Amino acid sequence: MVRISDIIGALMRGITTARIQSDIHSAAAAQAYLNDEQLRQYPVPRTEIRQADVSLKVSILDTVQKNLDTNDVALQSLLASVPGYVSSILALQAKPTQGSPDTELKPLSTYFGENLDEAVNTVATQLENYLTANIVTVWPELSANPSKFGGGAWKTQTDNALAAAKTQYQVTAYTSGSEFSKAVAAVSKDWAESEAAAGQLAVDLAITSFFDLDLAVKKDQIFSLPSHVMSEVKLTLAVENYEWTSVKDKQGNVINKLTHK
Amino acid sequence: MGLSIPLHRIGTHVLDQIALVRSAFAEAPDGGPPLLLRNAEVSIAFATADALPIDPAEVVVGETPIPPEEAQRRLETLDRKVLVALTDVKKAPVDTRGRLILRIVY
Repeated sequence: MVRISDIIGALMRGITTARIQSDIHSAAAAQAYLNDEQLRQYPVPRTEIRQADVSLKVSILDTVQKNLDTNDVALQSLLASVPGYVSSILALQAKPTQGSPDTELKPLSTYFGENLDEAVNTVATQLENYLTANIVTVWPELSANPSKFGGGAWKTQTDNALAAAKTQYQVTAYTSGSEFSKAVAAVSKDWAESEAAAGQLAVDLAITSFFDLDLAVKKDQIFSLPSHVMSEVKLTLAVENYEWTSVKDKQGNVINKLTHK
Repeated sequence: MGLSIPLHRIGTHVLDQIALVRSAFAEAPDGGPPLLLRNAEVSIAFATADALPIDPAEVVVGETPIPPEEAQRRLETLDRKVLVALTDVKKAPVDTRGRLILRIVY
């Protein structure tokens, strides 16, 4: 594959090499002029490249997709949304006990009291671990049918994570009833549907970012192509010239130094 | 068919490739670069991915050469998806064909 960087790099190397060859030839000519009685009367010819404008027609043979782990891209998108999801779950209304009247409904988060932040982390970490360990199966299922995944596997994981946090922080709020379960299912489905779209967008963006352009530059590749398919690279290059000069250091020793001309 | 890529990504790819070359070139003995890339003009032929016409056909980033950072900023608004592979551009209807032109000064 020939990339744009290969083309520009080759052109820049070519200019540098041309300059070096020119100097080597000039050095040989200078010696010849020195050794010849008549030539010594003439100035030594020397070519100096100060600036070069180069232009190259190319054609883009193909766009090449770089290796991309779409599951990993989707995972990063999903993980970013987990803390917000957990907050939504903990905002659901729950009763203190099964027999409590509806007037005692209050956000589940309030039952965790001063342990709320730790509880959010506990639930989020458990869900993140599940996503990370199972992304190879999670992403295909989630992206193919978000509603089914949200109401199925994702809700189950949420229930399990919530139960573990309740046990850990000795929260006894009633979350086993059908009302609470339906509310969790609704939130988990919403999350799955929005994250399937967000994850797909992240994957699409990554796909369009990880590519290479494979160029055709050889005569037999581009000779017969119409002008409308041709691309072009034009460069203006400046050659910095240096020369050896002899100077004395602090101790009076003569040293040779490269200086910018 | 080649990849369908937003125009700004094509432009960014070009800028990245030039930056790669510039960083790869060794420094001169006194610390300055021996060969300087002053200006670069890159013209990329494309066809719209949705096969709809594009007008104007020339998308110019830098009427006169601009620094790469400024070019990057101007590219951000170019979200039209295009095809740049030879076979796609070759067969595309004439009014769907265009050219992205980047003029950069370093």
